[in-house]
Amino acid sequence: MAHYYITHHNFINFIESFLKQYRVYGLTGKGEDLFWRSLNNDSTPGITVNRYRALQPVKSFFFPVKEEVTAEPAGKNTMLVGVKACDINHLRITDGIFSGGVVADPYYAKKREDTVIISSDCDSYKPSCFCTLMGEAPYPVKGFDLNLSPTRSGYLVETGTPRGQALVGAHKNLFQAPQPVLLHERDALRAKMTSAVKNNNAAFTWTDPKEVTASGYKSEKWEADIASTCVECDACRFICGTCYCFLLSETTKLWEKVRTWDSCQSNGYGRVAGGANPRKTRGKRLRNFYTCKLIYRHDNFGFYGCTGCGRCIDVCQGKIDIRKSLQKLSSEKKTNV
Amino acid sequence: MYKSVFKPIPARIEKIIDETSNIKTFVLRPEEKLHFATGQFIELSLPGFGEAPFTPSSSPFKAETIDVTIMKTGVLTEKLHSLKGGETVGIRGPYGNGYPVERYYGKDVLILGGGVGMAPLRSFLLTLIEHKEKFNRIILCYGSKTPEDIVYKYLFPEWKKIKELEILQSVDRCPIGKWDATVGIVTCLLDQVKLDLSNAVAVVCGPPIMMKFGAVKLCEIGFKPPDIFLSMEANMSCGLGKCGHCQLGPHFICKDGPVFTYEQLKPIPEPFA
Repeated sequence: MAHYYITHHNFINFIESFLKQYRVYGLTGKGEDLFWRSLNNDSTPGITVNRYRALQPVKSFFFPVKEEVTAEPAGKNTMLVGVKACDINHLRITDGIFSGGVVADPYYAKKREDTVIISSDCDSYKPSCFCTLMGEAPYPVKGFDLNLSPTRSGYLVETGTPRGQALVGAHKNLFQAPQPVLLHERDALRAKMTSAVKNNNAAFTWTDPKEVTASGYKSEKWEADIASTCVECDACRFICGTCYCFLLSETTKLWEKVRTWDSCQSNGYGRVAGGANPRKTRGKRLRNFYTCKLIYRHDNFGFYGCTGCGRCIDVCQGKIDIRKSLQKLSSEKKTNV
Repeated sequence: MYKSVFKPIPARIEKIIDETSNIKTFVLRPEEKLHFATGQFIELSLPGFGEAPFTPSSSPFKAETIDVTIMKTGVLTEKLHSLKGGETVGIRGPYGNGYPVERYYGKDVLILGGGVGMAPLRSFLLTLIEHKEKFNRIILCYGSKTPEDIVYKYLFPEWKKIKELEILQSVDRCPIGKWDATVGIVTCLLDQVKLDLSNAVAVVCGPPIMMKFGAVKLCEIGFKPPDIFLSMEANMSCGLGKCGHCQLGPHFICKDGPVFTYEQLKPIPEPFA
């Protein structure tokens, strides 16, 4: 849609103007990892807008770790500043599951509706980042209300929705028309970052994750190699931005139910009455995570349930790296031929 | 008042029927009428203990009460078995797609059931009986472990009087008492049935191992995979295709099933647990 320019100083004023009406979250963190934090007047000037994605997945804002699901969904205006392309791509999957299907989930839908997404281009990457391997890019092209591309003294702002346009419209004095050179600078940075992420993953030669997973389905490597260091901590599932599985349970209040995140890496997850379990071993359970993300969600929605954010790589106690797993399966395939 | 999709409707237990040593049928009267199609399932909850999916075993034409036949197999079902008439449970649903009964009109319908798998099949059978003139033949092949393990024993004499319904029964073994019919696993009954395979469908429900070999055997005798319908009940939890528990390849059993054709299941590696 439309493009604007805003200085760093004016951008902070812009965000601070929403602190009373919205719960505003931004990225903070000086070390390797960035974290989502609730912002106030003191913390807003210190937020990180670009760099790369936070350690926590954005799904937490729409599908919290634990949530009561029998009362009327409560609405709170929320604004997220610094959402990355991989995060927005995660929401395609959670939207498909929660907002689509036989009935829209009212709790997810309400939060999604009440949340303004201000996204930003990546101007750095983590060693675990691999969006380019998944056919994505380190900058958002849609799914945001506003997107921020860094410039030397401020941001090039792109509006993505009428809501985003209205936010800019309400603060016209803070924005300027962008000079054409800023658009060129943005494109140059995007091209540079895309190459950087590609170079980061130059060691991985697989190109079709669905095909690699499907043809390697019966591989002995799942048990013997890929899942051999899995300690069943479930961290990869909970940190994943597209993992939507949950467990419904009772509370002490009659007919009240809560849902909590659940994980297909747990032994009891797929077990049925009588004790039969379709995924008894760690290898089968880890394979299920790959087939879910790379085959079946692609079959359902036309895109992968993995956007290459690399969070599962960052948190794995057993150093399981999905990129390396796929490399092992694809090299096995080549050996077999 | 807001009505959440996850909130159960209270239902009073009107009557409890002992079917076998570990299977009981609960006759439930929900506070609000609940209309279901045969083969759809409900989530039955007991506050403080949990919730599990069951397919009603009663006729969908009887709306005031719903029968649910439950085998004692875990924490929740054990607690359910200890309940008495007059107590209250919760019901959500119905969920999923039932049997596509209209597609069976004019055909030979073979029902293959094993053990407590007879529960959804009873609802299906009662639906067929309601419109028996619409089907060419109705054949029930039902197997249980022993004569004691037969569910709905009291209904079989009644069903045997229905001339449009052919019934074949088997038991895996007969340790005590008398058994006049077949001894052997249920699939051996299929050798005794002669069908017009160009115009027949098979509807299967039972333990996973029986479903697996039942489907294979039906194919061997000439059924085509699109004509074999299997109830793939698993551990459906939310019932709405969201929570992921019942995923089966690209499908969620709760919203895409629980009834699937064998043709739908064949491309999925290891569809039977």
